[in-house]
Amino acid sequence: MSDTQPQVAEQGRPRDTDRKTRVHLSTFDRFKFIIFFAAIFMVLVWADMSNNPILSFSDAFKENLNSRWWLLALAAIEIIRQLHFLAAEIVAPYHGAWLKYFSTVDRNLHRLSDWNRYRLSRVIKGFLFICLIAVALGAYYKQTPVTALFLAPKALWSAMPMLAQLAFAVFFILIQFFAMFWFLSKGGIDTYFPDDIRTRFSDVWGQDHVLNRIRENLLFLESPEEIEKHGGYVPGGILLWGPPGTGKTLMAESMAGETGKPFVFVDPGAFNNMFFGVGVLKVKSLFRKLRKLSLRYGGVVAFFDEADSLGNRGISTQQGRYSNSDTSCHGGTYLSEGATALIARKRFGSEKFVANTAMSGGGGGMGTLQALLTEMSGLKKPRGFFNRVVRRTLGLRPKLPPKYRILIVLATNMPEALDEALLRPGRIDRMYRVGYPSKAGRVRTYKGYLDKVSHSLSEDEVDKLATITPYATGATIKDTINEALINVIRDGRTTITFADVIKAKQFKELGPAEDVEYIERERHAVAVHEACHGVMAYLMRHHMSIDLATIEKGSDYLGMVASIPPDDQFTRWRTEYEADILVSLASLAGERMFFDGDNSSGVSGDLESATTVASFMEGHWGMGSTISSHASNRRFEVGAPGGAKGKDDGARELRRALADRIEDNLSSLLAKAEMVLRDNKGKVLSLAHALEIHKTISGEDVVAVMEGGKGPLVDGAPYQSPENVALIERYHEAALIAHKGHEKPAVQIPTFG
Amino acid sequence: MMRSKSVLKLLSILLGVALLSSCAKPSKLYVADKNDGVFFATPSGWYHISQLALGHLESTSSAVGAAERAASVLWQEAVTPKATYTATDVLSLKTPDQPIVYGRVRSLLPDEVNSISYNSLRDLILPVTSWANGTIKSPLFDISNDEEYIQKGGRGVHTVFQFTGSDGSSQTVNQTSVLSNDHTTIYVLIIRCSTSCYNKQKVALEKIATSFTVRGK
Repeated sequence: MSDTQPQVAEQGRPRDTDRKTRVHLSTFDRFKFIIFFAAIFMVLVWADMSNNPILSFSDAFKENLNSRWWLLALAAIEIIRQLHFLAAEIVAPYHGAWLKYFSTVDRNLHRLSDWNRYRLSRVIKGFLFICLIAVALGAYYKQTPVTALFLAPKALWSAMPMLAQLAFAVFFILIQFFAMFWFLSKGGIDTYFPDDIRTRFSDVWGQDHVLNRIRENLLFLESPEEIEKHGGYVPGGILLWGPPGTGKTLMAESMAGETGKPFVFVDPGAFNNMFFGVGVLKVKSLFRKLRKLSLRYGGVVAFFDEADSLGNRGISTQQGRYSNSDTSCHGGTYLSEGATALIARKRFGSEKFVANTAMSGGGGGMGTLQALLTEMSGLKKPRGFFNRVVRRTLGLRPKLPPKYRILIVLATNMPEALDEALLRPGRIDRMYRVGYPSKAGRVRTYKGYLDKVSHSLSEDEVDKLATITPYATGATIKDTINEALINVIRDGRTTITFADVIKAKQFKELGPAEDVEYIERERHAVAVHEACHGVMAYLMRHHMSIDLATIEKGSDYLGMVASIPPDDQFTRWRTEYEADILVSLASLAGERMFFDGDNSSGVSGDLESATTVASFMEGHWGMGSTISSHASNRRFEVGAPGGAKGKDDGARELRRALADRIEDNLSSLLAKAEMVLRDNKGKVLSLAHALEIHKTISGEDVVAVMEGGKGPLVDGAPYQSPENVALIERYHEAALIAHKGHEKPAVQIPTFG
Repeated sequence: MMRSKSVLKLLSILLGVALLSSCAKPSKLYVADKNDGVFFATPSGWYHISQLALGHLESTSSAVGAAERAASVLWQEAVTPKATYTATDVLSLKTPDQPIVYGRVRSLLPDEVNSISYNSLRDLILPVTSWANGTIKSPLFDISNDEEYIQKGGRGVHTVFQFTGSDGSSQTVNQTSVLSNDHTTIYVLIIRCSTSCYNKQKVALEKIATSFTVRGK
């Protein structure tokens, strides 16, 4: 085997360097130039003949032989070249001699440095070009080439008017583009000077922890030496993110008011570009402006509102830093960075980010984001024509640029839509979550807005208001107070009461009631339905308190019992979720109990929410009989734990299919709900009675009915008397008969006091 | 190897042809005014007479209207086998002992445009018509040929005549005058020589006359 291999190699085509003679040219390559020259010659002969009708072919041929000697010379050179090739192909020593000669020439040439050879070749090429021009001009002017070369500038001078005209035409066309791009690259950027803005930090309520941090940043912006003399650098970028209406823009505004530096507000749509490159121009002009302002005023704040409009380049940002996803209440910070990134990528790459990537092209795309990234980190290179060109030409080193103090603030409610590179330290050094205001913040906010109007609310009432509006933001609070004021003015009054605010809040939350009158038996059914929810919520759901109960029909509900968390609470527990499910299932259990096993389709929404919560408990939150997360199971397509049917042992029993486990859980909770309601039958009917009478009652009224106390609207005392309860039950019996017979109840609804 | 040799042979032949063919001379001397579309050919080896001298001589002439006519000349060229002939020999009527071929293109003056006729074309250098009619007494005069001459660029007359000049020697003139189709330009070819010289070289000289081609602008 080993012998055959070199033979195979020998049979292959030899390398050029191994050959003793030159590689044979193909016949076409050998004659192509000669044929080409011959063709040109014949064309010239033909042209002469067509120019002179008495010229014979032979004379034209002969004349051309004389007059186009250069063509013949070229042909002769080509023939000699081909002869040389042919010799090199046949005679090995001849080829060898030439190879030797060329390698010597090459060696000598390479003694020059590459740069010198490059310059030399440039000079030679330039010289040849001038020679060619001179010969062409010589032929044109019928002069010697050198003379013609000097005649040409004269011709150029005489052609000046036409050239100027041409130049004007070019200028005329270009100026339109320049003007268009100049105008397009303006706008979308507003500059406020220190005195323009009256907002201060004291106007931002309920976000003190974020404000304190921002204060630090501003401190460094105002006296950067403090950190720089110790070798640090001034943080140059802040990201404010959080739900809408929580005061991000207000915070930025107050920042501008507080610093005494100019504040540049960049519109979200500023970088939407109609033409490719306009966005880039805008970014460049924005930063030119920022640098100018920062030099003049010693610092500048640039605020990008709705920064998500800047888009991203198709990669999600790392979620680890600000993961507020519902599934990981303690965040992913205990994980390694790699694990966090993997989770974030998997989650967002597969679900959300498909849509986001598609959007990013339209927004700040087309190079705008890249330009912004470059500008944000490229503030330290030398700038300016004089600095870069003139100083360098004179042999001076370019001056380092001054330190531009630019604080960039981004605000967004979709931080995951931002580009990862935008958020790296050096561009955005700090990220603050601007969440829903704390209770103290809400109290402060309510007070702030109430102070602007005439009101009669006590401290306690304001406190209560803040308690029952846990997710209120500055914007919604402002809106609620304003709504209350509108109602007050419409009523011809001037002072806002607690009831007005509550009414406004309900109006804002529920929308306007539809003002439809139920027929009696249906009203009773809806009231019983809601009363079941209410009683169950009162008895079982201690982590929430009832905000209001109503049987007034809204746009998408017949009635409702709304609850709110009394405290700021950040963790949720299994018992709480079970209580939630009980409250949801109470309607089904109650309807079946009070209407002899019948139930309405009105429970559909309740069942949906109960099933959803139960599914999450079983599959996501580790509150069921198995541990693995259904979210991961589905992503990796490993399937949910669930044994095959058949063998009946304890472990297998626990590992039934997910849906079975959810259903089982719900069934046991439904049984529990029935038990609770059966034990509190009188309470349910009493609450239903109160709802039928008053239509909408507050949480305190519900408590009053349950405990016999006095609520704002309902007096609970009559519901404590067994006679009254008996009356109510009789009315229910009549309503039940009416329900079955689709008729009017025989008994009127009883009224007390 | 055989193939290489045949290629070598072919290349050598080509090289030889290229080198040798550069010595070839055309069989005729082609005279042309491509701008005005006039062509004629004389035997090769004849000499051109300086155009500059021809123009200068005519413009400095003291004859009536000569300067005006000189200004309207678009092109003129004279060819002769005798190297010593000058512009004076071409533009005078002195009998030459060697042929002189003279071609000329001239735009007509305004009054000429109206009066031009075949007769005036015949009378371009000598009053041929009057001599033939006998209205002017002519010295020994004879027309040997007179025919219409039609070309793409115009039409005119071809006249061959002999006359005896003041010096007593006989001279033959072979004259072709063509008026352009738009009546603005005349094209003239005059071949003249002493009659004995003309008769000796008749075939060659008539060949020159027939080569006269007017294509027009």
